[in-house]
Amino acid sequence: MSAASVAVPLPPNEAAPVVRVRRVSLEREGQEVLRDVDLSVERGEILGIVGPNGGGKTSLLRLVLGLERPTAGEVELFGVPVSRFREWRRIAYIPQHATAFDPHFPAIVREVVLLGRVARRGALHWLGAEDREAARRAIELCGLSGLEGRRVGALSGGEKQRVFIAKAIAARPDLLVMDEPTAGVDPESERRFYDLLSELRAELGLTVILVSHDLGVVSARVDRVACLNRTLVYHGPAAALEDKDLLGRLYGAGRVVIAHGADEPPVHGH
Amino acid sequence: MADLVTLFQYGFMQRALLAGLLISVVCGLLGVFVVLRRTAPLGDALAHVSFGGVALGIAFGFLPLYVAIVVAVAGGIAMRLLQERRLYGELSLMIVQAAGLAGGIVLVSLVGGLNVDILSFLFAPILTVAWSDVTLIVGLLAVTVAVLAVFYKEFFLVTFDPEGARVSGLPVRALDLGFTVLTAVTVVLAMRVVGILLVSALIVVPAATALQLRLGLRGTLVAAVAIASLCVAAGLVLSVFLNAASGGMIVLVSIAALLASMATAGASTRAVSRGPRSSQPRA
Repeated sequence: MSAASVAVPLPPNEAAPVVRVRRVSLEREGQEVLRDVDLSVERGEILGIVGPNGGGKTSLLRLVLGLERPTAGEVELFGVPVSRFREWRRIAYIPQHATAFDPHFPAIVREVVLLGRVARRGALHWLGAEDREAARRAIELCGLSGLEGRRVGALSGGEKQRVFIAKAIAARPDLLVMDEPTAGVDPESERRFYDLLSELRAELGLTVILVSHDLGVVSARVDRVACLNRTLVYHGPAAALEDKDLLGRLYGAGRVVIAHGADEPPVHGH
Repeated sequence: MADLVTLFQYGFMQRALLAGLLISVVCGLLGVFVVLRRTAPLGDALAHVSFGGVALGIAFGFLPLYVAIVVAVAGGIAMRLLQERRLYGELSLMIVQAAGLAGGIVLVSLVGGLNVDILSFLFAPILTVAWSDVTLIVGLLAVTVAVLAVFYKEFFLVTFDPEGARVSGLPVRALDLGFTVLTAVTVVLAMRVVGILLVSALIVVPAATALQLRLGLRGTLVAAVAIASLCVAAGLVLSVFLNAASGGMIVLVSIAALLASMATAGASTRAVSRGPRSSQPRA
């Protein structure tokens, strides 16, 4: 389970930032993973978390999602400490390599997108016409119309990714969290992916956090950027990533930074 | 044909076929999830544990099938608890399986060696199914199918996207435990059809055959039930005509069906890969 079951649940504070990370540190088996990270994500914002491999990007996501607890500091979701947050259906998460699942898995697009509604309904609820309509709308928004009956394993990488996004938004979440969504996706699909994010924000008022190794594309397509290398090196408007000194500090001296990573081979794992 | 009709006029054959078909429904439904969740070794381990239950029942004169269900469910829960204590996955299965098997062997030796009752549980006694067994099977089948029907989408989500399911607040641990209990009950029911040694084959092989058909999940579940039923019926009839062991015959027919479906699927894949690419990325 995501959070401590002893804590008393609190109702969300709708005026608070969607996510607030306060002086968070994380140690794993004596190794420092994150130190003193402060960060906030406002409603309707698209935040890109970038940084070198091993810099703690995925760990920060896990803390935000309540999958792990910080050694020090606090994470709040909608103004509620993670340990007392209960409305997990408001949050959708697409893990790294989500699209790299067993290609023989017997699931068609319509079935997978409808699964997104399970989270919203909770266990012991049948899915009804309203759910099918929400799934149909999500399929349409993600440009998957006509592929409803296709097996997900037989789709291209970009299409698979849009299936996962459709599944996520079918639950009508307020916050969408994605880990390396564009790893292994071709540049054209990547461009479509960011276009889709902008559309979804306009259409659904979605707040988005995405982790990426791909500095160049992220800085062009998100509102704010958090540069993470154990500590938060930078948190602010994406435009500042033009600053070469900052990149130097982020990746350490002597590392060559490829700003336009679309030609890079996909990076897997941390 | 006339022979076949005559055959099903016998009460033992009617009971055997009814019990077999009922169990195929559960095996087909559960088997698809067992294969996709890669928990086939769990079924096998639980079958061995249930041997301990059968021995316990026979030794103390209780109904072996009922005792086997209790022991298998307890064994399944024990495996989960051991896994949560960070014991390597296969190791926890092996330990509980060994405990059930060893306990069974000791009990059997204490009550005077392998008797006909125990041998019949090892090697498929479906033609000896009594009406009381059919009642038990019907009852447990109804419960199992109802649980699968209600939690179908949750099992699907946990199987397809476990991390996403956990984040969305689904009780993943309870679902895993529930799945283990369902598997334990199914194993004991299937034991009545093909015997302890071949239980996991009856669960897994028809599901694997259905997966070759490349349908959606719902279609695969329906196909698995149909394939399991056909294999059980065909195996049963063949075993009577050839006067051969019914459990072994049912599993051999299932494996033949799997090989046939794999050959067909392989042929169609090759045909597709030779032809023009079917899934052009949409611009």
